[in-house]
Amino acid sequence: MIIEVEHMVKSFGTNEVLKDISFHVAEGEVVCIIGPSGSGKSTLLRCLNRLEEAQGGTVKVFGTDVRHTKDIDSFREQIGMVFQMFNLFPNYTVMDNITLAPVELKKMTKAEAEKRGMELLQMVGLADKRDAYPSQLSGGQKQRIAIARALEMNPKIMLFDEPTSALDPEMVGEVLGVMKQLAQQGMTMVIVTHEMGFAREVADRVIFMGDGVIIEEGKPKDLFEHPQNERTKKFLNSVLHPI
Amino acid sequence: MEQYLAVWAECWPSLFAGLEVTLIMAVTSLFCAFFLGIVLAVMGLSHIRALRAFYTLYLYVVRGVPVMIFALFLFFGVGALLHVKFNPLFAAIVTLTINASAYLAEIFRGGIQAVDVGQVEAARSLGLGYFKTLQKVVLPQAIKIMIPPIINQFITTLKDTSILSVISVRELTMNSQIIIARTYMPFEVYSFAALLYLVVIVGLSLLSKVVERRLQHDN
Repeated sequence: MIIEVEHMVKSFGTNEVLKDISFHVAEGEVVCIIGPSGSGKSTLLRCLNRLEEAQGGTVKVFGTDVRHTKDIDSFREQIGMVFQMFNLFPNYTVMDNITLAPVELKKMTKAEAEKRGMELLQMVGLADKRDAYPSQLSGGQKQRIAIARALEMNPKIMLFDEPTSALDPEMVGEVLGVMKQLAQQGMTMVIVTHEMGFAREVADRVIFMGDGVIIEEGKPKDLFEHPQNERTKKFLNSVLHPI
Repeated sequence: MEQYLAVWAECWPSLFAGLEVTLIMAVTSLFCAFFLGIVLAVMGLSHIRALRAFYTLYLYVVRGVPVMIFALFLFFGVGALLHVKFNPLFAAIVTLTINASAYLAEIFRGGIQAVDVGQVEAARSLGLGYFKTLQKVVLPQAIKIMIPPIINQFITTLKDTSILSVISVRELTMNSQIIIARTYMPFEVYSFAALLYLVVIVGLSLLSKVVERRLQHDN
């Protein structure tokens, strides 16, 4: 198991956001986390690379105790993260966004980083944007660059925090396309998403969360077609048949 | 007009000598305040509660006491208490340094905090450490936000130097008053003094515009 979470607990003040969360992710697995807003999906994801500090339970990634490791930075190098709001660095070009971390961390020379950067830009279909600034890109392009930036570090896991929620509808497909390609290459992925079609098609397993607990999990076909829990049924009904 | 120019011819050496002291005072105190401001801003952003408390206290005291009172208190009050006669220029520079450092620290702190927290999260999630993130991601963006208010503070401090005439620093305002006491030409002399302040400050404002525009081009 590449990710092992046992009895994880997280509160903001008196607000209990995660209550006794346990789940595992195997190498090469694609797991989608779905659920209503405020159910703790993003917090759960952010606890995996300690952008949020879990307050109880164990969180192990590659066997490392995430909550207590002294060297969080070299641990994070191995986990790529993609954010809802892209978070590209506006003061750097696309290529510099991609090469900044590996060059600064002396993982690659500038030339190596740019060569790998070009390969990734080709993979996400934006090779012609290498010298553009983020402000000159559309939302979908920004997110594809953000994925390339995360992949540049050769991570073993990719975390996606609602990667398409801030996009115009016509741009969702281009980002999901890149993610699907990544899944097919065998990347281990944990994806918080509202894209049910994507979860159903690409995920190996779907986790449904509500009110800080995992309510139900299973293969996408089972969860979407035969949800066991009433809340899962209600949620799926409202997102799949909104009108 | 002829008389106006005649007064100018008579008093410009003294006014320029005053302007020189004004500029020395402003540049020295802003230079010191810049570094003190950085130290204070680090305190204000610290995770250590005592440092943040000190920062807040410093800020409230400086913002809550007028520059003139501060200068009088330091020069006469503290001087009397310690039985020393401070050099007026020294007391003036200390006063302005303490004053400007608090405002600059707020500009630095505010600029850093104005950078979207998502930028820090993105950099940290790539494995960049705290200082690398600050250096490569946060500061370049924060400096862009900080430049206009920093220049604004330079202008404010430059103008505040005129207050230090109350502790007998021979700067531009003080020298104007001395000339007026001798010549009884307040209209002419004060208009010269005002013009000299104006020229220097407009120059600074134009510089600020140039810097701002250059930074805009960067992206």
